[in-house]
Amino acid sequence: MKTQNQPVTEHDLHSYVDNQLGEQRRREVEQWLSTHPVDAEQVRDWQQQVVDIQQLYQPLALPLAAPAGRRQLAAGWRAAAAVLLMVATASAGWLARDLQLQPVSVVQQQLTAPAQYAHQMYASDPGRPVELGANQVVDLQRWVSSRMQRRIVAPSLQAQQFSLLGGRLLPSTNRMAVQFMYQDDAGERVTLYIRRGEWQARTQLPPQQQQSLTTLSWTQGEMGYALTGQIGVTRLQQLAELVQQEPSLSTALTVAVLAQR
Amino acid sequence: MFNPFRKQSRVRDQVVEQIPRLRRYARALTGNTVAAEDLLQESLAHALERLGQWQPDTDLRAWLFTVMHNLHISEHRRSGRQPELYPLESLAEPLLSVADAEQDQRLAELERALQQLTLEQREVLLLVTLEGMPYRTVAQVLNIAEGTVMSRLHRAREQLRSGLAREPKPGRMLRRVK
Repeated sequence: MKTQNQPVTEHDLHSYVDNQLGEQRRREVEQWLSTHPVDAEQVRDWQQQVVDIQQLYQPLALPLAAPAGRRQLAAGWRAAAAVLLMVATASAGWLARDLQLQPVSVVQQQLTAPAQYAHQMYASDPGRPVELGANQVVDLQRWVSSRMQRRIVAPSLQAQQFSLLGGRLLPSTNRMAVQFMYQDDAGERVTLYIRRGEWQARTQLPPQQQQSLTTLSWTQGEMGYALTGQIGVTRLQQLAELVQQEPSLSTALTVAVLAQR
Repeated sequence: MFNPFRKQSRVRDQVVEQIPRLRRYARALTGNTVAAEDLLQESLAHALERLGQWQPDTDLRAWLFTVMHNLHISEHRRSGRQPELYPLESLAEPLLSVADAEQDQRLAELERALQQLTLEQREVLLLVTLEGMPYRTVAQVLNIAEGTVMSRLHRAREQLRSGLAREPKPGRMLRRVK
């Protein structure tokens, strides 16, 4: 088999874990890992570390403690810093005006973060990305619906060239969640994470970024949805619209136009 | 209406946007929520004071992280290690509402293992894994060579593996990039 491979180095393995490799090199490293199980295990451990560290430390919009003031700060600049911190805290929990509001942190913690976590765990798993495949989609939907006590269907994303690969059930604190995985012709994968929750209102979060992954998440009634992938916000929004248009998945949400910066 | 302060306030808004990340980094670095707030407040004060030194259209996030890093480093050097005023605390409970006790336990162990890394190793690992910074940017923020970033990253990851593993883990030494 002809390849352009240079030998795979430690640097490559780290770059692979941190998504800092070009497409070509990434495929070469993956190829190499498939025949080097010891290094593959090392890489998997490192990847798990990334996921765990991100779960352990999520962005802290709200302070967890008051500063003890043990540092000597010039009074004027301390005041300026305090103003910034207050501004940040005041705006931390609240979102778009038109939707009834809900603290971001709850949705972030119980929907967006676990969805990204699950995407990182499974989307690039070479062995078993899904538990039940698309050829068993009827069984899959029945199983998921019965476990979640709610009629769940895997929306079709075919209009955007994404085919269903399958899905799995995931534990999520005191609730079950489902992850449907889709793939397009270029091999790009997106996951749709669905979970019931104690959400009182409709909420739509701005895109959440973790390294190369973007997640769009929204809640409606007690259902929460999060769509994750590396395909960029615009394409994700198109997919989100398809999900929201799925007739059997509650009434369609009006898709808020997310401000572009 | 022309507002001469509009440009300034736009930059301040951009700084405010970075606060959650900076706070997270401060917490992960120091292992203590109070220490983190102190470090955050001091970093912001320094950043505001020196905002004129930041070149617009360059990476503001990297610049802010550099400010925080430099402050923490000089504090660290002055007091030897983590000052006793700020005891290490277990993060998992206050931060997470995870009802899964096993998960809690696992993450608490991870935090302990992270705090046992050297500061140099922890900084690199956090900037790479939490902030998703390219290695080149990490080198810039920490004012070290990229090769040093890679070797610290490797040591950090392998330390964590052996620190957390139930059995010893093999890891092969491969050729390094120079």
